[in-house]
Amino acid sequence: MLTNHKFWYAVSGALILFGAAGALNIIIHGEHSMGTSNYVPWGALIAGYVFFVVSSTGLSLVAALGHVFHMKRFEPLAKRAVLGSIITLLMGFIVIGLELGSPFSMIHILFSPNFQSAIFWMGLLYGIYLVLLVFEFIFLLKDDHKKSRLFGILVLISAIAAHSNLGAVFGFLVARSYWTGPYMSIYFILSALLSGAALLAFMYFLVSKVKRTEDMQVEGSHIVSHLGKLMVLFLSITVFFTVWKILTGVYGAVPGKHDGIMALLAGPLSFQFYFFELGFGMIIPLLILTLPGGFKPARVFAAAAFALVGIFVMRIDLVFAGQMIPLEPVKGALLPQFRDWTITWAEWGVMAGAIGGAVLLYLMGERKWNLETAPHEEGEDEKAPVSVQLAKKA
Amino acid sequence: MARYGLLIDASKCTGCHACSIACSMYNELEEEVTYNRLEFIERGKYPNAVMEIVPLQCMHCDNPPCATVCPTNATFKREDGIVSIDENKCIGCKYCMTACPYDARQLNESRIPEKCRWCPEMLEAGKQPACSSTCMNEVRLFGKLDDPDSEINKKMAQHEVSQLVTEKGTKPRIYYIKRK
Repeated sequence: MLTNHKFWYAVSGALILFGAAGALNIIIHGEHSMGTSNYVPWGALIAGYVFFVVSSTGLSLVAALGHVFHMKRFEPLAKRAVLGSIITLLMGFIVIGLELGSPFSMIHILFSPNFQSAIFWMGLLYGIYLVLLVFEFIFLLKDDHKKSRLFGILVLISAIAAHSNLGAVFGFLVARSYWTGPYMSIYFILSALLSGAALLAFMYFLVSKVKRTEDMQVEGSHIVSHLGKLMVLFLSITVFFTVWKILTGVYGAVPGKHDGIMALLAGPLSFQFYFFELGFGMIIPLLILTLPGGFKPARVFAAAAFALVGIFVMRIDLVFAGQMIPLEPVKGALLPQFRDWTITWAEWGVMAGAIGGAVLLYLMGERKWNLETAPHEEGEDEKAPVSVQLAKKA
Repeated sequence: MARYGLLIDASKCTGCHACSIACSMYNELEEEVTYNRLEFIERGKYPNAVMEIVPLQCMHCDNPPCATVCPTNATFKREDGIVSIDENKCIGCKYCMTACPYDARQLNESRIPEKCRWCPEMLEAGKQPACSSTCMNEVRLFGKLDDPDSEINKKMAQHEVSQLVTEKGTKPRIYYIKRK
């Protein structure tokens, strides 16, 4: 079933319909159809947006391993990863567009920019990143390795700039101790690597099954295994970051930050934190991959699927843990322990629709373009960094 | 250009909410929306318990985090110190809402995070804004901070004053008379 084109078209169609209904509801009823409030102004669509743009950045970063850094085993990934990166970024834009109260006023970012605002930079940097990605993809399709590598480098730089700045959108918020500081920018980049590797493993496993050509099956299973190894590294990094975020939060009892961490550990977010963020997002995929035979493609696929669900919930936790702790401008005032929030069907719909849209666009891309990467010419190896050349000789 | 400020004597507040209702009516706000609110603090234990009330609204900070984060300068600081909003420029990203340590923003039906603007037309006409003029106990006193002979300056000289959430570097323009 999973290897059938029609199945995926049907799934994406259904999700897009659900998404269209959700989007329409938000357009008509505005904030009333969302689970936000004056005290929790950023809702699930912010988490959804972060999920999609993190995926885009992650796909670009993992693509760069082969395409920019000449790690041979990842070279065949380039076209599919860059296409995936463009698509997930576009879906992210659609999701945030529906979260914004007046998206058409974005024009004022050009005429009245505030250079101090991280959201201004977010718009600018992701805009540049999208344009560069499109150029990279065009040159990849033409198998122009020289130009596509040049754009690959620019994409890498812009991806890191745009995505770490997205972390700063949260990190700059002095009012919300849970987010304040440089942690978010670093965490966003490193967790993007996990998103990218997991999404590519997920995609590549399915593509290798659907394509059914012998070359693709052999190549696909090799790549999926290698991505599994990368995932172990990136999962370990994510565990490391999560452990230290929790320990520093619990240790100091800093108002806001401590309460946010406790909401995850022993509060209203604890089930989704333990079960999805830690369980699905980190422990289960690590176990699947590190037990004997863990890098078999089907196992990597399963680990990637768990990780992707876990990463999505990680974004939900991140957005709400930072807002559900009431601000206390008047010390000692009577306040609820936690601010209420919810995820409405319209918000679920928009996020599901964006996933459907991504699947549909990807299927269309596979159909329209040849996404197999032609081998790099012999002479090009000499231009590879010395370390790579030495590694090859060894 | 005047530099406006607000002095609040919270010890006089009875908790009648007339300021909130006056604000809603003057600004023609939707149901249950008001740009000022009261916070309640319980102190002591029965039978020696008291309840303190603190009126809260936009602080018109001199270093307003809501204006700093606004991507289109839709929120801006006027020369007279009032933090105002150009609705046409607002993209509705709600960054100002997450940035404000006072929870002063209220989303309106057009999905614009609105807030108290100190009724500038009243201040410019030398009158007190709606929340102040309606208050039976004269809890609020608006005035010009740069005029040494203004009522607000005279009163501030007579009392010890404090501000809220100064540790976040916001430099608020609202002063509270310390309780005795």
